[in-house]
Amino acid sequence: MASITIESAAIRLTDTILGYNEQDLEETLKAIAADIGMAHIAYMRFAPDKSSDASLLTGARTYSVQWQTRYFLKQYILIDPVLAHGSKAVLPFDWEELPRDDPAIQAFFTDAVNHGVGCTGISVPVRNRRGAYSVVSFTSNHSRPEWVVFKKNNMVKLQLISVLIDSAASVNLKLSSPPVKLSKREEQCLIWAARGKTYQDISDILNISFGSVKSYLDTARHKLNCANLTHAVGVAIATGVIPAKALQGSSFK
Amino acid sequence: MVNILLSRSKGDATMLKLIEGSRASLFPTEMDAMFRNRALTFSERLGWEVTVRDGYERDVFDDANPLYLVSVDPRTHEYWGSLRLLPTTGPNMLRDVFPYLLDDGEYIESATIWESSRICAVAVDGQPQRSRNGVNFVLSELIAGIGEVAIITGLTQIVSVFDARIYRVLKAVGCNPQLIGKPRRIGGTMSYAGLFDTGEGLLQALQAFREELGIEAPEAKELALA
Repeated sequence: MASITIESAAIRLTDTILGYNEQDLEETLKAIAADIGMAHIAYMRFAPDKSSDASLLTGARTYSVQWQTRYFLKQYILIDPVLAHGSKAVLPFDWEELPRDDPAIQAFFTDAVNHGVGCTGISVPVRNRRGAYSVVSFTSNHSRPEWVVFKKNNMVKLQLISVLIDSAASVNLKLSSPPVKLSKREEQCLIWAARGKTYQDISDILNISFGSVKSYLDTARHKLNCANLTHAVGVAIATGVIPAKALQGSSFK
Repeated sequence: MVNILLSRSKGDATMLKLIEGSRASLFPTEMDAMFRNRALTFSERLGWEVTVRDGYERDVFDDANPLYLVSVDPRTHEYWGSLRLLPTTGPNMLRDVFPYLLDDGEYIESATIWESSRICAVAVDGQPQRSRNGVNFVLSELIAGIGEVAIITGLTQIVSVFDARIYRVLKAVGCNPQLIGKPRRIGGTMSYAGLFDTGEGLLQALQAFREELGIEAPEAKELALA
């Protein structure tokens, strides 16, 4: 496979960075994937504080809505090895290199391929000035030999596009505000609220007064600049202020 | 996950391990020897103001999941030398520790430029000899390793802060480093910031250097996943 041209991708992303392109990042990524012959592009930013918890609903991806819904419902975020490795990696990695001994992970990749994610994938870790970690994944339906040649010819360009996507995301997703620090109590209350507990439940669980629970949650909501508790829980998980894993063990019935 | 071993040449002159910071705990022997070697080199020999604790020289960048290249004896896996690579889009030494080496307002930040730092080596029996112009073999192989990382990763240049000794090594192996900013005295030694190109030119220069040493080139096919 010949080397790709990234000029139009760079222009789209630079326009986003400069504020000339108000298009959703997802739409921009779709156009870029088409430009460079990829099946999909996915961008994910890891929260700086709890990155190991893969709490990264912040991002943009061009996968089908069915796949994204399925990914959420099946809680693939908890086992996805691209995230587990990508959250700390520095070298780009081919998805084929990821360990697949675990049958659950094998099934995950099979399911992904069946939902059009692409047969081959590579992820490029990106670091930015604030020390935040992101990962940009490119997938394709090329044969393995074609894919090997593609990577050989285009790694420099994939690096360039990845860093531009990271910068564009900072603008487009308005991610650049300073990290929110919750106190231990605020975090505990918010995690229990995220697990579906009422103020009274939380007060019983943590053995603190109803009023304290209310005040901790209100402070947390304020720190997160949110309109109400539901909003605060969503933003806290999406930005990694509370780890997505904290929801494990809660019943969703 | 992946730790790539660059197994070298038919003569098996050296072996390079690529160790991601997040997986360093899986390589305790290599890391122990590396941090000790760094303490001896940078604190005792060069007199840099680095923090040494319990015999280890470690800094904040070691906590930022960098990439280490570690050269080991291919037969015994004994530690020979190491260096550290950091993307310049994230925290790095030139921007965060030595910004005064560059002119005001200048900085290096690029998707395809990584920073090399803390290059050092030990001299032990069993290493191939120095080249005719006196360059340490392990240092030259570590620089060759950078060239290979650059290809895997998609890099075009390497930036580094180095002393006169490493400047000489870089020139001798054909890196053709371009000095940027102004040299300054740091601790007891003059320090420089420089850039060099990776890619075909670098690999060709290193090949010529290896031939001078009578060492066969590594076979890229030997890239092994462990």
